[in-house]
Amino acid sequence: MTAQLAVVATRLWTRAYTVGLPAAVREARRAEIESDLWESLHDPDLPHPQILPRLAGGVVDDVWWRATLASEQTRTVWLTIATGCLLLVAMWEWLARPAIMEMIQESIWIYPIVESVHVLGITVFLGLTMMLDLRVLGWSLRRVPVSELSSYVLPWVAPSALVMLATGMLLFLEEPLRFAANPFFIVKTVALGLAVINQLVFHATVYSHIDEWDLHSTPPRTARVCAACSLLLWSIVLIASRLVAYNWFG
Amino acid sequence: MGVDRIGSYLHISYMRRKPGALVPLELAICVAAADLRRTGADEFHGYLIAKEIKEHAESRLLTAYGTLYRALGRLEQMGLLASRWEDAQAAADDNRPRRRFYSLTAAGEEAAAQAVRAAAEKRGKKGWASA
Repeated sequence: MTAQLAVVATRLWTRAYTVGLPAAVREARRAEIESDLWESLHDPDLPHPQILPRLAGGVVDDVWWRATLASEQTRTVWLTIATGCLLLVAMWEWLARPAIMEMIQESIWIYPIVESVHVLGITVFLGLTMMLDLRVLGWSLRRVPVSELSSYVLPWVAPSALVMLATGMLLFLEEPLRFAANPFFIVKTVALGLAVINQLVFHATVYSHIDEWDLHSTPPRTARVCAACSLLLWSIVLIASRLVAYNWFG
Repeated sequence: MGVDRIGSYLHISYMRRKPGALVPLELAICVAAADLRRTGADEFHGYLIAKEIKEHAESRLLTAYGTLYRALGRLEQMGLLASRWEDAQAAADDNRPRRRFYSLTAAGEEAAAQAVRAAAEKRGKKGWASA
Protein backbone atom coordinates (compact mmCIF):
# COMPACT_ATOMS: atom_id res chain seq x y z
CA MET A 1 0.00 0.00 0.00
CA THR A 2 2.79 2.42 0.98
CA ALA A 3 4.71 1.48 -2.16
CA GLN A 4 1.62 2.14 -4.29
CA LEU A 5 1.17 5.58 -2.72
CA ALA A 6 4.85 6.33 -3.30
CA VAL A 7 4.45 5.32 -6.96
CA VAL A 8 1.45 7.63 -7.33
CA ALA A 9 3.35 10.50 -5.66
CA THR A 10 6.34 9.94 -7.96
CA ARG A 11 4.14 9.87 -11.05
CA LEU A 12 2.31 13.05 -9.99
CA TRP A 13 5.55 14.89 -9.26
CA THR A 14 7.07 13.78 -12.56
CA ARG A 15 3.97 14.96 -14.40
CA ALA A 16 4.07 18.28 -12.55
CA TYR A 17 7.68 19.18 -13.31
CA THR A 18 7.55 18.05 -16.91
CA VAL A 19 4.40 20.03 -17.80
CA GLY A 20 5.05 22.43 -20.64
CA LEU A 21 8.20 20.75 -21.95
CA PRO A 22 8.46 19.77 -25.61
CA ALA A 23 6.62 16.46 -26.11
CA ALA A 24 9.76 14.41 -26.84
CA VAL A 25 11.61 15.55 -23.69
CA ARG A 26 8.50 15.27 -21.52
CA GLU A 27 7.59 11.76 -22.64
CA ALA A 28 11.19 10.53 -22.43
CA ARG A 29 11.54 11.63 -18.79
CA ARG A 30 8.13 10.23 -17.81
CA ALA A 31 8.85 6.90 -19.53
CA GLU A 32 12.27 6.64 -17.89
CA ILE A 33 10.84 7.20 -14.40
CA GLU A 34 8.02 4.76 -15.15
CA SER A 35 10.56 2.11 -16.15
CA ASP A 36 12.61 2.78 -13.00
CA LEU A 37 9.48 2.44 -10.82
CA TRP A 38 8.65 -0.89 -12.44
CA GLU A 39 12.19 -2.19 -11.88
CA SER A 40 12.05 -1.07 -8.21
CA LEU A 41 8.80 -2.91 -7.63
CA HIS A 42 10.01 -6.10 -9.34
CA ASP A 43 13.54 -6.30 -7.95
CA PRO A 44 13.98 -9.50 -5.90
CA ASP A 45 17.27 -8.16 -4.42
CA LEU A 46 15.57 -5.16 -2.80
CA PRO A 47 12.29 -6.27 -1.22
CA HIS A 48 11.62 -2.74 0.11
CA PRO A 49 11.65 -0.37 -2.87
CA GLN A 50 13.14 2.99 -1.86
CA ILE A 51 10.70 5.03 -3.89
CA LEU A 52 9.83 7.87 -1.51
CA PRO A 53 13.41 8.57 -0.37
CA ARG A 54 14.54 8.57 -4.00
CA LEU A 55 11.71 10.93 -4.93
CA ALA A 56 12.38 13.34 -2.04
CA GLY A 57 16.16 13.28 -2.51
CA GLY A 58 15.92 14.29 -6.16
CA VAL A 59 13.34 17.09 -5.99
CA VAL A 60 15.94 19.88 -6.07
CA ASP A 61 17.66 18.29 -9.08
CA ASP A 62 14.32 17.91 -10.84
CA VAL A 63 13.57 21.60 -10.33
CA TRP A 64 17.05 22.64 -11.57
CA TRP A 65 16.74 20.33 -14.55
CA ARG A 66 13.36 21.87 -15.39
CA ALA A 67 14.74 25.40 -14.96
CA THR A 68 17.59 24.72 -17.38
CA LEU A 69 15.07 23.63 -19.99
CA ALA A 70 12.92 26.75 -19.64
CA SER A 71 13.54 29.59 -22.06
CA GLU A 72 15.40 32.66 -20.81
CA GLN A 73 12.20 34.69 -21.09
CA THR A 74 10.15 32.19 -19.05
CA ARG A 75 12.79 32.30 -16.31
CA THR A 76 12.63 36.09 -16.35
CA VAL A 77 8.83 36.03 -16.08
CA TRP A 78 8.90 33.63 -13.09
CA LEU A 79 11.58 35.67 -11.34
CA THR A 80 9.59 38.86 -11.95
CA ILE A 81 6.44 37.27 -10.54
CA ALA A 82 8.28 35.95 -7.46
CA THR A 83 9.98 39.30 -6.83
CA GLY A 84 6.69 41.14 -7.36
CA CYS A 85 4.89 38.88 -4.86
CA LEU A 86 7.59 39.47 -2.25
CA LEU A 87 7.44 43.22 -2.81
CA LEU A 88 3.65 43.22 -2.47
CA VAL A 89 3.73 41.18 0.76
CA ALA A 90 6.35 43.54 2.18
CA MET A 91 4.30 46.55 1.09
CA TRP A 92 1.12 45.12 2.62
CA GLU A 93 2.94 44.51 5.91
CA TRP A 94 4.07 48.12 5.93
CA LEU A 95 0.81 49.72 4.77
CA ALA A 96 -1.75 47.80 6.82
CA ARG A 97 -1.15 49.86 9.94
CA PRO A 98 -3.70 52.14 11.61
CA ALA A 99 -1.54 55.25 11.15
CA ILE A 100 -1.27 54.77 7.39
CA MET A 101 -4.98 53.95 7.07
CA GLU A 102 -5.91 57.10 9.00
CA MET A 103 -3.60 59.20 6.84
CA ILE A 104 -5.27 57.94 3.65
CA GLN A 105 -8.76 58.50 5.08
CA GLU A 106 -8.07 62.00 6.40
CA SER A 107 -6.09 63.52 3.55
CA ILE A 108 -8.05 65.09 0.70
CA TRP A 109 -5.08 64.61 -1.70
CA ILE A 110 -3.81 61.09 -1.14
CA TYR A 111 -6.89 59.22 -2.35
CA PRO A 112 -7.33 61.06 -5.71
CA ILE A 113 -3.58 60.88 -6.44
CA VAL A 114 -3.41 57.16 -5.67
CA GLU A 115 -6.56 56.54 -7.70
CA SER A 116 -5.14 58.39 -10.72
CA VAL A 117 -1.88 56.41 -10.55
CA HIS A 118 -3.97 53.23 -10.20
CA VAL A 119 -5.90 54.07 -13.37
CA LEU A 120 -2.64 54.87 -15.22
CA GLY A 121 -1.19 51.53 -14.10
CA ILE A 122 -4.33 49.73 -15.32
CA THR A 123 -4.19 51.53 -18.67
CA VAL A 124 -0.58 50.53 -19.39
CA PHE A 125 -0.98 47.00 -18.02
CA LEU A 126 -4.25 46.09 -19.71
CA GLY A 127 -3.42 47.86 -22.97
CA LEU A 128 -0.18 45.92 -23.40
CA THR A 129 -1.59 42.63 -22.10
CA MET A 130 -4.49 42.84 -24.55
CA MET A 131 -2.08 43.59 -27.41
CA LEU A 132 -0.16 40.42 -26.58
CA ASP A 133 -3.37 38.39 -26.14
CA LEU A 134 -4.68 39.52 -29.55
CA ARG A 135 -1.37 38.45 -31.17
CA VAL A 136 -1.49 35.04 -29.45
CA LEU A 137 -5.09 34.64 -30.63
CA GLY A 138 -3.85 35.33 -34.15
CA TRP A 139 -6.13 38.36 -34.58
CA SER A 140 -3.50 41.09 -34.91
CA LEU A 141 0.23 41.62 -35.67
CA ARG A 142 0.22 38.17 -37.24
CA ARG A 143 3.61 38.64 -38.90
CA VAL A 144 5.38 39.67 -35.68
CA PRO A 145 7.01 36.77 -33.74
CA VAL A 146 5.29 36.35 -30.36
CA SER A 147 8.65 36.32 -28.52
CA GLU A 148 9.64 39.61 -30.16
CA LEU A 149 6.38 41.28 -29.17
CA SER A 150 6.73 39.87 -25.63
CA SER A 151 10.26 41.21 -25.34
CA TYR A 152 8.95 44.74 -26.07
CA VAL A 153 5.82 44.43 -23.94
CA LEU A 154 6.88 42.50 -20.82
CA PRO A 155 9.38 45.09 -19.47
CA TRP A 156 6.43 47.50 -19.26
CA VAL A 157 3.80 44.98 -18.15
CA ALA A 158 5.66 43.84 -15.01
CA PRO A 159 6.25 47.31 -13.46
CA SER A 160 2.76 48.52 -14.41
CA ALA A 161 1.27 45.42 -12.72
CA LEU A 162 3.21 46.26 -9.58
CA VAL A 163 2.01 49.89 -9.67
CA MET A 164 -1.58 48.73 -10.27
CA LEU A 165 -1.52 46.23 -7.38
CA ALA A 166 0.31 48.51 -4.94
CA THR A 167 -2.03 51.47 -5.53
CA GLY A 168 -4.99 49.05 -5.45
CA MET A 169 -3.92 48.02 -1.95
CA LEU A 170 -3.81 51.66 -0.86
CA LEU A 171 -7.30 52.29 -2.24
CA PHE A 172 -8.57 49.17 -0.48
CA LEU A 173 -7.14 50.41 2.81
CA GLU A 174 -9.21 53.57 2.59
CA GLU A 175 -12.36 51.62 3.46
CA PRO A 176 -11.55 47.90 3.72
CA LEU A 177 -14.90 46.83 5.18
CA ARG A 178 -16.95 48.59 2.51
CA PHE A 179 -14.84 47.04 -0.29
CA ALA A 180 -14.85 43.57 1.23
CA ALA A 181 -18.66 43.60 1.39
CA ASN A 182 -19.11 44.86 -2.18
CA PRO A 183 -20.12 41.99 -4.57
CA PHE A 184 -18.34 43.67 -7.51
CA PHE A 185 -15.12 43.84 -5.50
CA ILE A 186 -15.42 40.11 -4.75
CA VAL A 187 -15.99 39.39 -8.47
CA LYS A 188 -12.98 41.56 -9.30
CA THR A 189 -10.73 39.81 -6.77
CA VAL A 190 -11.74 36.33 -7.95
CA ALA A 191 -11.25 37.30 -11.63
CA LEU A 192 -7.87 38.84 -10.76
CA GLY A 193 -6.73 35.64 -9.03
CA LEU A 194 -7.90 33.52 -11.98
CA ALA A 195 -6.17 35.86 -14.46
CA VAL A 196 -2.87 35.51 -12.57
CA ILE A 197 -3.24 31.70 -12.49
CA ASN A 198 -4.01 31.79 -16.22
CA GLN A 199 -0.79 33.74 -16.88
CA LEU A 200 1.23 31.26 -14.82
CA VAL A 201 -0.29 28.31 -16.69
CA PHE A 202 0.44 30.01 -20.02
CA HIS A 203 4.09 30.59 -19.16
CA ALA A 204 4.58 27.17 -17.57
CA THR A 205 3.05 25.30 -20.49
CA VAL A 206 2.87 26.57 -24.08
CA TYR A 207 5.16 29.56 -23.66
CA SER A 208 8.03 27.39 -22.40
CA HIS A 209 8.39 25.89 -25.89
CA ILE A 210 7.62 29.02 -27.85
CA ASP A 211 10.41 28.22 -30.33
CA GLU A 212 8.08 25.66 -31.90
CA TRP A 213 5.29 28.18 -32.67
CA ASP A 214 6.87 31.63 -32.39
CA LEU A 215 6.39 32.47 -36.07
CA HIS A 216 2.97 30.85 -36.51
CA SER A 217 0.36 33.41 -37.48
CA THR A 218 -2.15 31.27 -35.58
CA PRO A 219 -0.49 29.83 -32.43
CA PRO A 220 -1.45 26.43 -30.94
CA ARG A 221 -4.90 25.89 -29.42
CA THR A 222 -3.71 25.87 -25.78
CA ALA A 223 -2.03 29.25 -26.31
CA ARG A 224 -5.17 30.67 -27.89
CA VAL A 225 -7.37 29.34 -25.07
CA CYS A 226 -5.05 31.00 -22.51
CA ALA A 227 -5.14 34.28 -24.48
CA ALA A 228 -8.96 34.16 -24.71
CA CYS A 229 -9.23 33.48 -20.95
CA SER A 230 -6.82 36.34 -20.31
CA LEU A 231 -8.90 38.77 -22.39
CA LEU A 232 -12.12 37.66 -20.70
CA LEU A 233 -10.77 37.71 -17.14
CA TRP A 234 -8.99 41.08 -17.44
CA SER A 235 -12.18 42.54 -18.99
CA ILE A 236 -14.15 41.27 -15.98
CA VAL A 237 -11.54 42.80 -13.65
CA LEU A 238 -11.82 46.14 -15.44
CA ILE A 239 -15.64 46.22 -15.59
CA ALA A 240 -16.02 45.04 -11.98
CA SER A 241 -13.50 47.70 -10.85
CA ARG A 242 -15.61 50.38 -12.44
CA LEU A 243 -18.83 49.02 -10.90
CA VAL A 244 -17.32 48.90 -7.40
CA ALA A 245 -17.91 52.68 -7.30
CA TYR A 246 -21.67 52.20 -7.55
CA ASN A 247 -23.10 50.86 -4.34
CA TRP A 248 -26.18 49.19 -5.88
CA PHE A 249 -26.49 46.58 -3.18
CA GLY A 250 -25.75 48.74 -0.14
CA MET B 1 18.87 38.01 -14.22
CA GLY B 2 19.82 34.53 -15.44
CA VAL B 3 19.67 31.35 -13.40
CA ASP B 4 23.47 30.97 -13.67
CA ARG B 5 23.90 34.31 -11.94
CA ILE B 6 21.49 33.40 -9.13
CA GLY B 7 23.28 30.09 -8.72
CA SER B 8 26.53 31.97 -8.21
CA TYR B 9 24.99 34.08 -5.45
CA LEU B 10 23.65 30.99 -3.72
CA HIS B 11 27.05 29.25 -4.06
CA ILE B 12 25.44 26.48 -6.09
CA SER B 13 27.92 24.61 -8.25
CA TYR B 14 25.49 24.75 -11.19
CA MET B 15 27.47 25.26 -14.42
CA ARG B 16 30.50 26.48 -12.51
CA ARG B 17 32.81 23.53 -12.86
CA LYS B 18 35.82 23.38 -15.15
CA PRO B 19 34.95 22.21 -18.66
CA GLY B 20 35.38 18.45 -18.84
CA ALA B 21 35.58 17.98 -15.06
CA LEU B 22 33.21 15.40 -13.61
CA VAL B 23 31.38 15.55 -10.28
CA PRO B 24 31.67 12.47 -8.00
CA LEU B 25 28.29 11.02 -9.09
CA GLU B 26 29.23 11.26 -12.77
CA LEU B 27 32.54 9.50 -12.05
CA ALA B 28 30.69 6.86 -10.04
CA ILE B 29 28.32 6.26 -12.98
CA CYS B 30 31.27 5.86 -15.42
CA VAL B 31 33.14 3.50 -13.08
CA ALA B 32 30.02 1.43 -12.36
CA ALA B 33 29.21 1.25 -16.08
CA ALA B 34 32.79 0.10 -16.84
CA ASP B 35 32.45 -2.61 -14.16
CA LEU B 36 29.13 -3.73 -15.66
CA ARG B 37 30.80 -3.93 -19.07
CA ARG B 38 33.49 -6.21 -17.63
CA THR B 39 30.76 -8.55 -16.41
CA GLY B 40 29.30 -8.66 -19.93
CA ALA B 41 26.56 -6.03 -19.59
CA ASP B 42 27.41 -3.49 -22.30
CA GLU B 43 24.19 -1.58 -21.73
CA PHE B 44 22.41 -0.56 -18.55
CA HIS B 45 19.23 1.25 -17.54
CA GLY B 46 18.79 3.84 -14.80
CA TYR B 47 17.72 1.47 -12.05
CA LEU B 48 20.53 -0.99 -12.77
CA ILE B 49 23.23 1.67 -12.56
CA ALA B 50 21.67 3.06 -9.35
CA LYS B 51 21.98 -0.43 -7.83
CA GLU B 52 25.54 -0.81 -9.06
CA ILE B 53 26.54 2.57 -7.58
CA LYS B 54 24.88 1.65 -4.28
CA GLU B 55 26.92 -1.56 -4.10
CA HIS B 56 30.17 0.21 -5.03
CA ALA B 57 29.64 2.93 -2.44
CA GLU B 58 28.30 0.43 0.11
CA SER B 59 25.48 2.88 0.62
CA ARG B 60 22.11 2.15 2.16
CA LEU B 61 20.11 4.17 -0.36
CA LEU B 62 19.86 4.18 -4.13
CA THR B 63 20.63 7.46 -5.92
CA ALA B 64 17.56 9.74 -6.06
CA TYR B 65 15.58 9.84 -9.30
CA GLY B 66 16.20 13.52 -10.07
CA THR B 67 19.90 13.35 -9.23
CA LEU B 68 20.49 10.15 -11.22
CA TYR B 69 18.66 11.07 -14.41
CA ARG B 70 20.03 14.60 -14.44
CA ALA B 71 23.55 13.17 -14.17
CA LEU B 72 22.87 10.60 -16.91
CA GLY B 73 21.61 13.41 -19.16
CA ARG B 74 24.73 15.49 -18.49
CA LEU B 75 27.02 12.54 -19.25
CA GLU B 76 25.19 11.93 -22.51
CA GLN B 77 25.55 15.59 -23.44
CA MET B 78 29.28 15.42 -22.68
CA GLY B 79 29.57 12.41 -24.98
CA LEU B 80 30.61 9.98 -22.23
CA LEU B 81 27.40 7.97 -22.53
CA ALA B 82 25.16 7.10 -25.45
CA SER B 83 21.54 6.01 -25.08
CA ARG B 84 18.80 4.26 -27.03
CA TRP B 85 15.25 3.25 -26.27
CA GLU B 86 14.48 -0.44 -26.08
CA ASP B 87 12.33 -1.95 -28.80
CA ALA B 88 8.67 -1.48 -27.79
CA GLN B 89 7.81 -5.07 -28.71
CA ALA B 90 10.52 -6.52 -26.43
CA ALA B 91 9.13 -4.52 -23.50
CA ALA B 92 5.55 -5.50 -24.35
CA ASP B 93 6.56 -9.18 -24.47
CA ASP B 94 7.92 -8.88 -20.92
CA ASN B 95 4.82 -6.90 -19.89
CA ARG B 96 6.81 -3.94 -18.55
CA PRO B 97 7.56 -0.32 -19.58
CA ARG B 98 10.29 0.35 -22.14
CA ARG B 99 13.79 0.75 -20.80
CA ARG B 100 16.22 3.43 -21.86
CA PHE B 101 19.57 1.75 -22.32
CA TYR B 102 22.80 3.64 -21.77
CA SER B 103 26.27 2.55 -22.81
CA LEU B 104 29.73 3.93 -22.16
CA THR B 105 31.40 5.59 -25.13
CA ALA B 106 35.17 5.42 -25.66
CA ALA B 107 35.48 8.80 -23.93
CA GLY B 108 33.38 7.47 -21.04
CA GLU B 109 35.64 4.43 -20.66
CA GLU B 110 38.68 6.69 -20.62
CA ALA B 111 37.04 8.86 -17.92
CA ALA B 112 36.28 5.74 -15.85
CA ALA B 113 39.86 4.46 -16.25
CA GLN B 114 41.25 7.85 -15.21
CA ALA B 115 38.98 7.90 -12.14
CA VAL B 116 40.16 4.42 -11.12
CA ARG B 117 43.81 5.42 -11.64
CA ALA B 118 43.33 8.64 -9.63
CA ALA B 119 41.66 6.72 -6.78
CA ALA B 120 44.53 4.16 -6.76
CA GLU B 121 47.14 6.96 -6.70
CA LYS B 122 45.31 8.63 -3.84
CA ARG B 123 45.26 5.38 -1.89
CA GLY B 124 48.96 4.87 -2.66
CA LYS B 125 49.87 8.36 -1.43
CA LYS B 126 47.85 7.88 1.75
CA GLY B 127 49.56 4.53 2.38
CA TRP B 128 52.99 6.09 1.81
CA ALA B 129 52.21 9.01 4.12
CA SER B 130 50.97 6.79 6.91
CA ALA B 131 53.91 4.36 6.56
